[in-house]
Amino acid sequence: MHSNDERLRLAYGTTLEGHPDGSRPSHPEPEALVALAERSGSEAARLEVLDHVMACGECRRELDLVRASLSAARIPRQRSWFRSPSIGLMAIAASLLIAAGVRLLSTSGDIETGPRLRGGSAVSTYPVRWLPTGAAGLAWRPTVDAVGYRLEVIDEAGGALVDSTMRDTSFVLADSLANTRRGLSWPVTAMLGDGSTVGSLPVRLVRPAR
Amino acid sequence: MTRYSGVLRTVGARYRLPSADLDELTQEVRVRLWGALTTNERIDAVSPSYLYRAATTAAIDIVRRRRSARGDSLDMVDDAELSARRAPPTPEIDASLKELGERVEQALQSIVASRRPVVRMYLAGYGTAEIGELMGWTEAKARNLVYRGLADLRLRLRAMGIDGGGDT
Repeated sequence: MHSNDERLRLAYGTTLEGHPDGSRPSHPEPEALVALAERSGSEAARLEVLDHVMACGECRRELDLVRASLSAARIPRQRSWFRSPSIGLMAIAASLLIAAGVRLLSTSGDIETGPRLRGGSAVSTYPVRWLPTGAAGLAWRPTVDAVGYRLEVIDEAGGALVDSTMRDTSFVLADSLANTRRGLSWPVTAMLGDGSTVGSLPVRLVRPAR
Repeated sequence: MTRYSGVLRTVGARYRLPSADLDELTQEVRVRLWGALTTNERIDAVSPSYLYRAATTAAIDIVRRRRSARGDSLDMVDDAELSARRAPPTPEIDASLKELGERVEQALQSIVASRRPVVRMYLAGYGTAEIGELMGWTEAKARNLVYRGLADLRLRLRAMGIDGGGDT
């Protein structure tokens, strides 16, 4: 008689169906089937239950029913990889990277490096042009109906280094002022013919690194 | 509840459950939730842990009820079910398989107790991945235990004069 795995399975199947209930030891309690499906209790106890269940067609079907019910209602578990220390460190590193990126974005607007035209308000300013002498050339776009402009250069403490009214739309800030103070910013206010005013956003004056 | 019912259909197919079993299970869980929570809003907002408990007790009650019914009319139910499940009668093959099945059962009784349930599960038609999942083992460990258990089984069968060779 030759028997490969499939034949062994078929033969074993006949033993499952052929035994009336009375010929098996008493069936495990339904709670034991639940414990088996939940993997609770000792492995030895679960193997003992499994030994009966897999020799008893009815208990096997009952175990499948219990497993299906519990699987369908199972509380999603937190993924184990998420709790891994290495993943945690990677998450921290990613957070720091994002924070650094946000910081960079928030400060990059302070550096006058490209030929950008600042807009979004009534007076648009041009990027600062740093002269070879170290002086800073400030300029802004002419505003319609403007009769004059008030330029202020304010230091960190709020003190005005420059507070000038002019008709021109540019100003050269002397080297002695531009490079000796930190935290300077410069807003421009256009005075219109009807007596109203419109202003620019204050732009920080930062000398680009060489 | 809707989610549970939907997932149960999918999971039930994986466990080869007949649709009547799935209907009974769904109904049992639904009745429990209705009895305890009474309104659709509360049922929709049921916590996963509450649903899990309801599904557990529902399954337990169904098992008890079936056992009780089998105890009341054992012969009638089993005969009807078995005749419906069995393949069309082919006397020679049937007798040969039955004889082999009895020998396999005898051989199983003598192999190491810790390997026996795993081999039974494999012979009952479960794969090594499912065995590992049920016992909390890796598939490799389950496969190893099945392999060793089947080797034990074949040794015993050979000792009984049965060629237990073949693939694993």
